[in-house]
Amino acid sequence: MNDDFLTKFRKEPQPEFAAALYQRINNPMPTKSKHTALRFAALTLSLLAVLTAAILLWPSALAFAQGVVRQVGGYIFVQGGQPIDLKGSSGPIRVVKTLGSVSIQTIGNVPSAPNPSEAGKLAGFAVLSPSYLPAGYTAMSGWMVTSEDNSNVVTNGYKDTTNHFLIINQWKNSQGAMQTFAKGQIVNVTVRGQTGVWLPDTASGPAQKNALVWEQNGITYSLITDSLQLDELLKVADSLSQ
Amino acid sequence: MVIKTNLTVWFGPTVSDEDFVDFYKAELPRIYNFFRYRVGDGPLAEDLTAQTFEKAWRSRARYRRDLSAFSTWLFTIARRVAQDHYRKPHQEIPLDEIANISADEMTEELAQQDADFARLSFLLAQLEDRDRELVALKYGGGLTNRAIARFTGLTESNVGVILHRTLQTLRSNWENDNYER
Repeated sequence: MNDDFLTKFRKEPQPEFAAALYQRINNPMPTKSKHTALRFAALTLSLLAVLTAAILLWPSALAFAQGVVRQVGGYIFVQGGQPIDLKGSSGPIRVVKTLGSVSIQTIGNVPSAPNPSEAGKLAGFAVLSPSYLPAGYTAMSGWMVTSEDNSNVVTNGYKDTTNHFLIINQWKNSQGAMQTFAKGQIVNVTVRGQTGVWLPDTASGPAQKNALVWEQNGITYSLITDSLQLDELLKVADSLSQ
Repeated sequence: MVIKTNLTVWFGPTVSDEDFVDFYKAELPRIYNFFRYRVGDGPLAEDLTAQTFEKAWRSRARYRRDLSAFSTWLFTIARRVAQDHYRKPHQEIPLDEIANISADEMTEELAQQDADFARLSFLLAQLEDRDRELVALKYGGGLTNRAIARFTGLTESNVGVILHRTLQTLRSNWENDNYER
């Protein structure tokens, strides 16, 4: 008896079972999901409307609101609640993470440049590159240029030897489009002399994802990681240059 | 199997309904085999597999918020489903019944394979619960020792040692024909 012996008993589920289960989870629930999403969207919009009204009509509410709602570049963050993507959009770039590897995959034709200079030509703005990376991190992608809300985003990624990742997004929000998100914790920080936010994930362990977001010269920057903490991300941010 | 995490809307959904269907197709065999090794072959493994995916579907919004690796999240649910199953009082199915299910309709080779797996299931059932779970995660779910360590809170080397020892026990019992009915 060895590993091969023990694994040889694996088998595919019966097609009838797979099909029946697929029907069970896929048929009645999308309707419920849509209703739930709509309810959340309506609730969030109502909440934002009330908050906006409170800020306009009651100046002292502004101080309160600053701790709940934060705008950084093209993003509005609402503290607490369920995460809601009001647009319901799905991006063409994905971090593909298995239990033993991490990589970036693209859906459809996503232009990629070999360096930030070429990426900048594609995106129409000066793209920055980090001169500092945390120990063990190396590039895992080119500089991909995608369009989001009629403005361009440049994305590139790094990973370390234990398959942790760091993603850098640079978004020129020329059309004034906004994206609203709910986060459990929003911490004000200063990044490169600018006001930004640190978004630590409330989950811990391997599922953790943290982000540092700030705006500078009309570009919204976000560093997204599954392992790095604020101090390391600030070093990466400080090292960004053309 | 790949795990997809939406990037450009990282702060929002990380898995669409379409993604979930892809995940379902890719992960179904791993979860199903995890349960086959965990509780034995047959309708029970299918039922627990179904429970896992139904729970995952119902709580997929939570996955969007907190987790990045879909299979990690799915196996976390599967482990909980298995634990809940063992907590509930349930009727044991006699081994003879398991071994004889639809034997008439099988080819000789398949019948032997099923008989062997029934025998293996019997031996697995004699193991400590933790050891059987490790075997199910490793050989049924196809997880690495490192991934199992993350799930269980054990160290990777500890997982390796336990699995090695468990394999020795299984081998010894198998060779000694320790298959009492």
